[in-house]
Amino acid sequence: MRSVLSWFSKLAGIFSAHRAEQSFDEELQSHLELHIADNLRRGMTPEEARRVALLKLGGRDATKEAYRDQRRLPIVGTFLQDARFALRTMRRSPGLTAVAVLTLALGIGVNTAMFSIVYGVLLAPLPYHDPDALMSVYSSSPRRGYTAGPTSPPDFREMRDRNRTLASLSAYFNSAVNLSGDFQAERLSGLVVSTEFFDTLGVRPLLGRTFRTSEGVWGSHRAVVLSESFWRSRFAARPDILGAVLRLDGESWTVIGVMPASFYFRGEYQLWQPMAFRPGDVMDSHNNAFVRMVGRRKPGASRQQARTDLNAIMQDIAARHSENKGIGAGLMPLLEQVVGDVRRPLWVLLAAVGFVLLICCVNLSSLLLSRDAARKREFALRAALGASRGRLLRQFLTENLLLALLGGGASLGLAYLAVAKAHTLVVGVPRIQHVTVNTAVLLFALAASIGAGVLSGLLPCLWSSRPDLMGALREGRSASSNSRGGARLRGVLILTEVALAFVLTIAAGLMMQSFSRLLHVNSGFDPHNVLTFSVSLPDSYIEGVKASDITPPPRLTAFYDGLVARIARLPGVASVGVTSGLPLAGGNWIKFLSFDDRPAPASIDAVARVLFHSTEGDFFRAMGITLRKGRFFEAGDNVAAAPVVILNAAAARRYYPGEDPIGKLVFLAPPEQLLPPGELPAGFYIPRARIVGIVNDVHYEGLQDPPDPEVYAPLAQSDFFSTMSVAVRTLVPSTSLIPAIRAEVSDMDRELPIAKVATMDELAGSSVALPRLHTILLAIFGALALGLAAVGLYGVIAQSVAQRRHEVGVRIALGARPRAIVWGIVARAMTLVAAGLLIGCGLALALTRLMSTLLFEVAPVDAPTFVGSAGLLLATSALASYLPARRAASVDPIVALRCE
Amino acid sequence: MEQKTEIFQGTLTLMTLKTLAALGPTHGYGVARRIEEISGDAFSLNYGTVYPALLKLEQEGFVASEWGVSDNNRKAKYYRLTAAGRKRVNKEAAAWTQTTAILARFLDMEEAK
Repeated sequence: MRSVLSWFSKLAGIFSAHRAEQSFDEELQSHLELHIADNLRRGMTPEEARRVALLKLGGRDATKEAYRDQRRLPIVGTFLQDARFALRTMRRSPGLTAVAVLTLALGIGVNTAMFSIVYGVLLAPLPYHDPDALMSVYSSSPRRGYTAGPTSPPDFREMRDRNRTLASLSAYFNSAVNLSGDFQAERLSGLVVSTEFFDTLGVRPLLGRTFRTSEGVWGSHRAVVLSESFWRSRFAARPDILGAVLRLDGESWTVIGVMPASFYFRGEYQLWQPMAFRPGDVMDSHNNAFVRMVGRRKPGASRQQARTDLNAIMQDIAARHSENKGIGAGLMPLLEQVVGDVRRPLWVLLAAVGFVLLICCVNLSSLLLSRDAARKREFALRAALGASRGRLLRQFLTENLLLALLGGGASLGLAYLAVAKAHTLVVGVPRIQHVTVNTAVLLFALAASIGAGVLSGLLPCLWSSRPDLMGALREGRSASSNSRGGARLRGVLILTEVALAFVLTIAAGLMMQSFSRLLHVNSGFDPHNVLTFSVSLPDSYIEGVKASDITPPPRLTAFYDGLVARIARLPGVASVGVTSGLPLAGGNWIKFLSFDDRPAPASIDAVARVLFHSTEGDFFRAMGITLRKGRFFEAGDNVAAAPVVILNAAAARRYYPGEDPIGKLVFLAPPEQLLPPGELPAGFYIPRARIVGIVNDVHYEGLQDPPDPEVYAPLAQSDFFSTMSVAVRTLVPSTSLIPAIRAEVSDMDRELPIAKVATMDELAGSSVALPRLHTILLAIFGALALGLAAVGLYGVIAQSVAQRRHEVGVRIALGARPRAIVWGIVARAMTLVAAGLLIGCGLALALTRLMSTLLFEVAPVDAPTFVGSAGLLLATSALASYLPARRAASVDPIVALRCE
Repeated sequence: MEQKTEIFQGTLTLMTLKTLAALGPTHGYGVARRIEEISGDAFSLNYGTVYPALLKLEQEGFVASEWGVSDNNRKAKYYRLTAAGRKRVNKEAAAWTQTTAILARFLDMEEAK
């Protein structure tokens, strides 16, 4: 309590310093007068009386200083004084100050920028009510090889209705709808959500309302919630949008609400639709797992309890529905699921910039060391005049902190710039659009500045403030920092710098190596001059389809046949094909594969699973997939003909080792005897298809994943998909055909838009966008580290050489050869560099393991990368030490000797 | 060295308070003189040190000060105890007496050995 009172009174004292000073002057004056008067009374002479009084007081100035110390907050008082002094010092050497501030601005700037991304992407809470309670809920089946997979709609409903640990559970899946009407038809991306979705997240609409339970029933489901940006761009933010009717996929949907701009979930969606299934819809079965779930834990229910609860329900379902056998449930915090893939890379990048900052600090340290060396006499003088070591230390730290804060301030510019760039350049990182330089980031920048200031200042401080008064005063200006302590300290700095830079160049080298291997993966197709787009046929094309149909509705096949024929006739087109899934574009179907000539496996879990693609037209030629054996599909492989399939080489290798698969019969379903009775519709049989060709492996899922076994079937003979992609191989620049293709599609169906128009080169490029980004960033940080280390090394060597100028001059005068002198200096530096490399190597061995998940076909301990990085650093440091050494050796001995 | 100063600081505060309690409102010079007189030659007191001590006590609210006129008609700043200050003198004097008594017993014990 008393100390608080005292603190306040001191705080107030800052503002009345002048008056207090005056008052104390008067008080001291009166003290002396009283004392002198006493002394005179005792019979002293006036001079003696005065002298004794002053002596007894203990010195007028010392008393004043002690009084001031008590009057002020000690830190604030001396800080202001030190800061004023520091500013004067900086003004005296603007060059050094500028270099120091720039170094720090760079180091802190990259860290602040990186941290703003880490904060915005990984750490910032999700913008929902009580986001910590939100969980991503998923199906998992370790036996079938997936752990966080989608769920079937009936499984979701049972889990939603029967669980006791979740306050709310909702499901969602992506959809694409065609918007038509008075304007040009447009493809919109939407999210189909169960009606409780918005309540699970705890978000409210900007306008209108969200879904009612009744809208989850087929027939009354045609209600739609718009995103703020779509409402603004398409409807000019009309306030009377509620109740408006939109033509979506040829049906009328009523707008019931608009979500605020701040709302986002997973991606950028233009609208949300309620999840409802037509009675008997084949999608609404245990066989079709395609919905994702998000749930809110009940207060007090742990993750483990929820897992047990949901698994019990899933087990119960499996007891009744054999297709669910082996499928359990799991859950993880929603944030973890949202940022899972980018977490490791972001932390690695943050660690990398942390290293860059450390190198900046080391550089600054050596810079300050050389400055302080030149000022050693000043400090010695101050110490001799009675400044304590602590007081000198504080002075140093103040100077460094001031430098660091200036650097930190300047770094914010860099951070703002980097964040703005990140918004446009970074793709594939969730939440990147919501990254800002906010309070947390500013606090981080402040902490980083203070940390950098203290860290870079501490070593030189401790060294310079050591009160070796006599030595420093005697040695004079030039020779002082040549003392052994200084040389050792510089050695430590070189060592640290080299070690840190080594770790970073290794990390960058590994990343570059890995990326180059990724780019050299044979994708299995030729992406040049291929234009792709997708078409979604509305339900009117598939009306009248029965579950027992084994071939697509004629209207659908006729549409794609017509489309292929029309595009093939366009000038500049080499070949056209349609497929249910493009390589590297995501969204591939998986089907069972069984063999007619082999006994059925014991259980459904042991049935082979393959990627499945349904194609039409000249797909293989359009995509540049080469045939290994047999033939491609032909026009004759139609509804009426015997079913055929094509396997990729991986499937042929896995299922027909040492055998010729051509001519063998397979079917894309589990063997009949493994299906529960009644599962197959009456009159339904599983058609057998003959293998007619083997094609090269295509990396559908991503270049880093090994190609899976794949099976292709002609669209006319297989399951249909309402959304198909078209690939057009062109002889002219492929994008020049877009208007003509748009016109053809519109001519076939005026309400049908084309979507996802992209060249195959673009798709291939965006599939490696994230690794490319990591590689570029790490390469930049590595180069930065190398450059900073080189500059730092150069500075340290130049400094130490400059201080030994006299000695060099003497040696040259005595006949030493300049080359020997250069060699001596370089050799001493390289010994330190080698030691630094050794330490860095140890560090790298420990740290690069953390990035093993980021690397493709490169081990984290990759000998060529380690050796190469070491060579690069050795060469750079040899140059950085040779240049100043040569300058020192070429000095005229007369000049060198005279300058003492 | 520092430890000694610290002890001295503590006792100086108590002596200052006690002086003010005994003499009533007194100027800084008076306090210094009084402490020196009472302690005899045991202390070689720098008079200047009483001022930071007085200021600290004032900041903590144990003493108050005002300008006045001395016996021989000189302007001087007078310090007096506040209520809190009086309370503190009593408390600390008691604590100090107890401490010294205990310490004395310890030292006796050492000698007896």
